Amino acid sequence: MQVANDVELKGVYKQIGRNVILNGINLQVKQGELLTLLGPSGCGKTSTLNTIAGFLDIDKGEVFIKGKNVTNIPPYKRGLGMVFQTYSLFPHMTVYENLDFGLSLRKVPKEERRKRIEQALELVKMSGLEKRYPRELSGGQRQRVAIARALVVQPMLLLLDEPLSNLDAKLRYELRAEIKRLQKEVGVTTIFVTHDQEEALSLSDRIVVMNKGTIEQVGTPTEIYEHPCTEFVFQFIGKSNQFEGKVKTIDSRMICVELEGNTQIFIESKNMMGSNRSYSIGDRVKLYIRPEKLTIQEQESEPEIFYYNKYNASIVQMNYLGSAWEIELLLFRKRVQVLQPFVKSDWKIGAEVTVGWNPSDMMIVKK
Amino acid sequence: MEPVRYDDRQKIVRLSTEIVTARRKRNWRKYIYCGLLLFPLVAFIFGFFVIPMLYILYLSFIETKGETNAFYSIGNYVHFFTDSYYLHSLWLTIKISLYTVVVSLLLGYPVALTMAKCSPRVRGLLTLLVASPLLISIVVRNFGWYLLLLPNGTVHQLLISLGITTSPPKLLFSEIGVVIGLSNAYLPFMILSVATSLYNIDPSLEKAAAILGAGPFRSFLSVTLPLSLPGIVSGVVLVFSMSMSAYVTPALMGGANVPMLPVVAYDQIINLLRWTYGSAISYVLLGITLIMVTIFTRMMEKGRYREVFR
Amino acid sequence: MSILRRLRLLLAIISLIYILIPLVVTIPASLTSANYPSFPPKGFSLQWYTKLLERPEFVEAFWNSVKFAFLASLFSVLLGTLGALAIAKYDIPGKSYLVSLLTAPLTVPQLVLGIALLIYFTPMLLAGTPTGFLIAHIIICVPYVVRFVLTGLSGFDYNLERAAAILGASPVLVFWKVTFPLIRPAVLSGALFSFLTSFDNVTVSLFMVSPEMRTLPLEIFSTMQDAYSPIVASVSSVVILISVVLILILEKIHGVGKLLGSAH
Repeated sequence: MQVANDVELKGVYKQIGRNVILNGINLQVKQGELLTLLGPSGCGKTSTLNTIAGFLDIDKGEVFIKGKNVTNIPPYKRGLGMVFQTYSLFPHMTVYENLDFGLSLRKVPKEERRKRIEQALELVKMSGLEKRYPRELSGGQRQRVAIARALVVQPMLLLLDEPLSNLDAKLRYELRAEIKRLQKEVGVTTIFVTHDQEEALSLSDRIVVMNKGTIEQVGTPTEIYEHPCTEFVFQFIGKSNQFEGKVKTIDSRMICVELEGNTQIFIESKNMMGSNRSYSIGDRVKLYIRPEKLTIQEQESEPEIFYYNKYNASIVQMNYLGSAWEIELLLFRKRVQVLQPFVKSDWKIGAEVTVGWNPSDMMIVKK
Repeated sequence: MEPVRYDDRQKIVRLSTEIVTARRKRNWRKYIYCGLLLFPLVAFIFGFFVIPMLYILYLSFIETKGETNAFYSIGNYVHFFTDSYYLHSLWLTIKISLYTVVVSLLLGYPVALTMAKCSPRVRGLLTLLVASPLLISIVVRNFGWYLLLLPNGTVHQLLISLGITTSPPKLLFSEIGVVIGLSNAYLPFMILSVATSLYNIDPSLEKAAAILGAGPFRSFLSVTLPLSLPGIVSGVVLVFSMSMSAYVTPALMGGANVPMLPVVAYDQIINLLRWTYGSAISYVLLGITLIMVTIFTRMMEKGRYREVFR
Repeated sequence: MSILRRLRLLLAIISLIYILIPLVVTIPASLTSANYPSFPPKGFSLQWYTKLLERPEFVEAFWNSVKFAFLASLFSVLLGTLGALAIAKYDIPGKSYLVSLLTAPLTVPQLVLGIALLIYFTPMLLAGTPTGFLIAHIIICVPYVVRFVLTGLSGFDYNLERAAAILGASPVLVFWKVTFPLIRPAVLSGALFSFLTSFDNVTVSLFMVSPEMRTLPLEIFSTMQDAYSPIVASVSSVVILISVVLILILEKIHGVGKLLGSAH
């Protein structure tokens, strides 16, 4: 069995009082990848990171790093790198001394230390600031130095605990790209924790969506967004529209669901979410679709997709977002969000339009 | 825009003057209320604290030779610094205060560290335990030490019964006794001072040190200790200042064997009625303490770890 | 390592014992049946408590201490609270210097304060009088009240007072119904703290005292020096018990640690 996984968590369980913080986590992190742990607060993502770092004593389970069982090894012996939400640069040391800290502990010779520190600072574009104190740096600068400090010791893993949450939006955007570039350049296996789904989608090679101490889904950003496995993942990432109905017919290709008012909607059978995937006629189900997958139809066009869903709706609200239009429709007596790149001149509040979508773009889950 | 008409302008001027005088009337009322509330306190402090302190400062520059001959001079101070008895007393006071600071720091730091690392409930309990003795009279606390340290007291009997020694050293009425008494009295101040600065250390700093490879001891030396320096400095300053001017504990625990300066000063004033000289001694005490504290604080604030004080 | 942690805890426990031990040994020692103080006590007897009641100088000193502590506390609270209210509410030029001045008695050693007051009071014929004594105690207590009430008023929303005024309340009513309830814990803590400070005080009192005016700590002080006997243990135990009760009340109202943290 080849050790291609840099990190492996097996059956990690942790309970504090009545709260189950981590409920049997099994995770593999591939070498060189940027993996993001994503979820709302309290989902266990930071606890998982702390478990890998060694700051959380787990009740059950094992932690492997590069094939070695580190479950009982304290953090200072694990050889990892970590960047914290509050930067955590030593305030009483200069930038140079901060970076030197880990190197001197590993007994790296002095000349080599100087060289590595210079390289690390160059990597994060902070050269020349060696003699400054953290107090004299801006938030963004501090974060870069924190990353340099973690990388200069050439760690086996890089752990980032919501490193961008304390920065303003523009800085967050810039540093996000920096981190992605850095990670590919250095090639170190990286685990990133965030609650911001946009960050996760843009940065990661793979995303782990967590909720209440369990893993909901692991996959590439595309997989997570386009083919969510559970309701939670669908609703947490991106916006969603929701309908309810009963199963009318099923076959291997298509499921037909009847909403109240005898409207029939077709969904591709492979678009099932949730753990219970055996459906029978009459089952109550929920249907989900993203706003950008709904299209307000131009009158004459006739899509060639078989079973294409097309219905009448009226416009309730139109919001101009600059790059697109967010239109709220009344469809099947429910308010639905649609994202359109443009609008036609006769679309206004109260107008009757036709909205359509592809059966492959809708997800179904048992109620 | 229409130009403002003449009579409108008049109205505006009248209105604004009315507003200003109304404001002044309101302010008058405010000043009266404020003054009424504040005056008794300020007058009291001024009359019974500031003036007396200034008065004895003034007195310290008056020398009395004999019953009637009094003149302004720094003679009292000269006398003090040229008399070996008083210089010895001053030196003894400084020495014992320094010992007290060291003992308080060594014993107090572990308690402060424990308080910083434990749960809020335990911390509350520990704070109560540490702080309460400060509200119990010093004579009562010293009496407890009498019980323990007198010849044939608890400690002596313990030492004998454990076979450590047959003639245990004199603990009470010695310098050791005074250091024990003073450090015991002021330990809570040191603990609370250090604990406060420990509470303010960002907990993820210790995590950062650990992940970079520092074991608990190295993490303590490189991160915790330097960052707790402000608390250590203020604790040291506090304990030193209080030890320098302590009277009751040196009197009870040291007696005539340990003539610390406050004891000497009391003697001069109460027994020998040498008020001008006693005043001078008081200000020497204050002055020396202030100088030493300032030198120490400056040294720390400009030293290697000066960043910590920002 | 775990060794370091154990060492730290060991030292911490030793220090805590060191702080508390003089108080802990006093109470059992007062129950000795012998006629010399010792710990552990020899035998068991309440004689030293009954003897305490038979000694008028202790009983009188006790009541003196209580009286002065009560009065000092009362005046300190009055002066200090009103002053603190003014400082917190109004924009006074040089406010921080004023506060430093008002809390300065805390930074001056009691020895020097005692000397200063003795010398100052003598030409005023206040030396050795109850009034002078009381004044001295107020001086050492009032800074605490000022500090506590100022802290209690920090963050006070003055719009509450304005709202009450608009609804028709006179300034006195506004104070009584709106401001005071909010600062009540601070004022009570200040009162209790002042009481204890005055009750316990030795150094300044030594300079203010006269033969007719002994307080309990002073009696203990002189008895320890001249007539050392287990009665010191019993009277000390009484002081400890009273202080502990008041400290626990103080802890309930405000938290002793927080007060002392803010007082330095």
